[in-house]
Amino acid sequence: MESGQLQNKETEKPKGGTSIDFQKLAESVILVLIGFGISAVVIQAAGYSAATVISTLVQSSFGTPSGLSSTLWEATSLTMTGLAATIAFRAGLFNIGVEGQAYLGGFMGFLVGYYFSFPPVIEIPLVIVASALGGLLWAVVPAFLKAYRDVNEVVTTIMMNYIGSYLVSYLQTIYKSPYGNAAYTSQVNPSAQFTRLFPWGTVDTGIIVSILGLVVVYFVLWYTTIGYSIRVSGINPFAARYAGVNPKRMTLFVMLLSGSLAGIGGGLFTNASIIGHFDITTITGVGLNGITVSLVGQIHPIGTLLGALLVGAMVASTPFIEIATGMPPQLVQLITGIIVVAASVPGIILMVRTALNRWGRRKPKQAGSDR
Amino acid sequence: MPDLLMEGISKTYPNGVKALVDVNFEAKNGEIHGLLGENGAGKTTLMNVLYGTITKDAGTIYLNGKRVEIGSPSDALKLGVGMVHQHFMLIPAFTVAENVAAMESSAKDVTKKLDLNKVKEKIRSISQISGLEVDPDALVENLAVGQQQRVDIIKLLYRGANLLLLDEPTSVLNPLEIHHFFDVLRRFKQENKTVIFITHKLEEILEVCDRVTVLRKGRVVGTLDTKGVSIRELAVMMIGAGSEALLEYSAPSRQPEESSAALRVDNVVVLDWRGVKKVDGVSFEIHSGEIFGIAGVEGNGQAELVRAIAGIDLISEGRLYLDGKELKNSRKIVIKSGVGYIPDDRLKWGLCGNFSVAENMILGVDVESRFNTRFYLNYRPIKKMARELIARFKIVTPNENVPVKSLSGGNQQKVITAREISKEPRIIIAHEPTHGLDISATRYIHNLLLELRNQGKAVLLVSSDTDEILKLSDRIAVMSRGKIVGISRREEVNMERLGLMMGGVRATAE
Repeated sequence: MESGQLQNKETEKPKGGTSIDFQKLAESVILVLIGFGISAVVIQAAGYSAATVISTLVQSSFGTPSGLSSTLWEATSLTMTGLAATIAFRAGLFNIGVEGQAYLGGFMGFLVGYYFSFPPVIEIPLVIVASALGGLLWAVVPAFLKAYRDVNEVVTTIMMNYIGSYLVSYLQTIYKSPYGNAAYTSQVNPSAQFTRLFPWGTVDTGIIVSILGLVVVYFVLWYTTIGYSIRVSGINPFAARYAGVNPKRMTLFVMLLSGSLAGIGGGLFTNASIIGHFDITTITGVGLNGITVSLVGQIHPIGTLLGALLVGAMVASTPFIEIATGMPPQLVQLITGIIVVAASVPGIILMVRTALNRWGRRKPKQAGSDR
Repeated sequence: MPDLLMEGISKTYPNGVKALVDVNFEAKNGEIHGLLGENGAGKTTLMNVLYGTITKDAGTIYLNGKRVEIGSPSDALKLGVGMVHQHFMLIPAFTVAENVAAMESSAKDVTKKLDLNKVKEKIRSISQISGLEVDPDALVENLAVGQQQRVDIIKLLYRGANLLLLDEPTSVLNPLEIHHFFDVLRRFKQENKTVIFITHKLEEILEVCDRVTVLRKGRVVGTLDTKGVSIRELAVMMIGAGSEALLEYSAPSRQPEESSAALRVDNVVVLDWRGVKKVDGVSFEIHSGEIFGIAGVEGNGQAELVRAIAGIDLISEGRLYLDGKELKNSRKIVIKSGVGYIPDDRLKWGLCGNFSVAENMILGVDVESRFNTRFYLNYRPIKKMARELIARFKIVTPNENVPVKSLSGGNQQKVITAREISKEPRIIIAHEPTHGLDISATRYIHNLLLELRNQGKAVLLVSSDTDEILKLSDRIAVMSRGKIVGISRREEVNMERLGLMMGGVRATAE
């Protein structure tokens, strides 16, 4: 009998198909702490008190009910766009288009709220479906170009982001609010807005949608045959061919699913209790931050939620830090940026690996019924 | 003392494969020295040792009488040793001149201004002397493969190499280009440059080489003058007499049950992505209860043929029949039809390295019918099956939950084999099933294949290891340049002819 050598014994944890990896979590926590450390040095060097900044950051994002509530609200749409990026990454696709898809999803959510006024039980699901459709629509072109013409989806989705941005900027002028000089649209009917969970904070029922989305994505990835195929495709496209996965259909399915999730993320933002209108300037970044969130979360659904909380906390606390310390906003963004970048290191490594896996993809003509 | 002497060179790879065992090799200035052997004989490893890309475990190298230590290609180039790999080391987006200049520059040259005109001038003079004509201003990506090869050689000449190691240089050339290429080699000889020419093509050795060293399984079989040597002698040296291989396994070859062609391959053509015919009208039948072996040197279309049968590569002409019914060229349908497939590259095609052993046990398995589910994937029965297979096939792993990449190569191969057998297939395709495995693991896999045959299954064994083919197959086909060159029963196999066919010599009726 040959001696089977096990090189890494430490991987012997009882892990099934699913994976909640505490080692990875510890990794991320340490990296966040390192990020805080570097930020502290930068803050001191700039002549401010690191202790004040960091305590304000923590206080204003997690320390008070309203601060925590703001963090949760920011995390609501980020979780959704983060999940959109995560599921695409898992299949080896780089959907940078979550940004544009979130715009379109958000705008569709606004349109439903603007035109219809059903009871919330009908209206809210309608908003969600419409925003999913908006995001899906914006993923259609990159999805087909990728699947049938092998056009790099990074390039096409970035292009779609620009088109989307200009399109909704124009559309919002059609629905321009009659009050004041603001460029944004009128308010939606109240029935189309998510309701606040607590009177003392901004977090609303949208977070329930996000959590549901997380559960669905997690379940699909680890407890379904299609999720298995998605994960194989992302890790090893050759093994996916071996397993009988049709790469074209897989690309279409995942891109459109990712687009739908990103669209819902936009809808959660636009129709939130404290927003209720569409404004391109405030929604900008919801998608791209979602990509960051996914990387911070090491491209795992649960990590995505934690990543959304971290990024959400940074966004929510930024104004408080400015007020408390008098730091210029650019400097505040720099230090929150440092923390987020530090936390995304493992995610970036994963992403690069996935990209490298794709290099060998040009293969002999593939068999199948699809040609 | 010869001008190049490699003495007692040994190399064992981390996975335990003994690539070189106490190899002695020598070459004289101004000769073309052939290095002949099958895949895995150690030819390329030996040259990589000389070029400094692989560190040797033991042995010494003498160049022009002096003992040298070559730790990297740049060391080698300083000593005038240059190597052209099978995959060219070129930057496609650069011009020829830029590629050559890139070869020269190093970190300390960054401040120096690059004089491309001088580089071009020198390339032209090299072209003139050597006969390697190439336009210095052409973009490498626009050049044909043969011309890219010239650029790769020019790069070495530019650096002043006078000992050239060429790894299977003719494999990318057409007959006319080969003719011209040999002229170039002869010119090198006139300039007193040494050429070491790696090949497995017997005719080429006789045509252009002065001497030849034959390697088999990491050992030198002999070095001889090509004058007065016959192709047959070389063929036998390359693949071994083979008689002991036939005796080692007692299982007799079987007469297949008549009229029961389990798999029929009918005139199949497979193109690669450039549209080149990799499989060129292949036909054969495999019967239940036999092992049909396809021998041949790697890269003669076997991989494409196997993947086409398995439903991965597109069949552009021809058909497959399974038990008389047409088998569609779709991976999904092939899986559902009960065809087991052990692919050649474990971690590329056959496994998902990061996935657990249990998860890998359902890769390419018809989960819908096996576990009666369309959507929900319940891991409990999957893990149970994995545990059963681990026990039945004696797979060494702490449990079914560890990533499959943490297992040894032999156990990874067992995971694939166990999985494919667990499908209870009618037919099993085994492509290089023991590549890189140690003796006991090889033996285990071999016994499994024989057992499958004895159970009445049809086995298609494709291997570049001639011994393996001889040990296991009931009938043997040889594939060369996309075609089946001949099929014979094992008892009737003529070793000489087998070697000749594998060496690219057409089998002619005698």
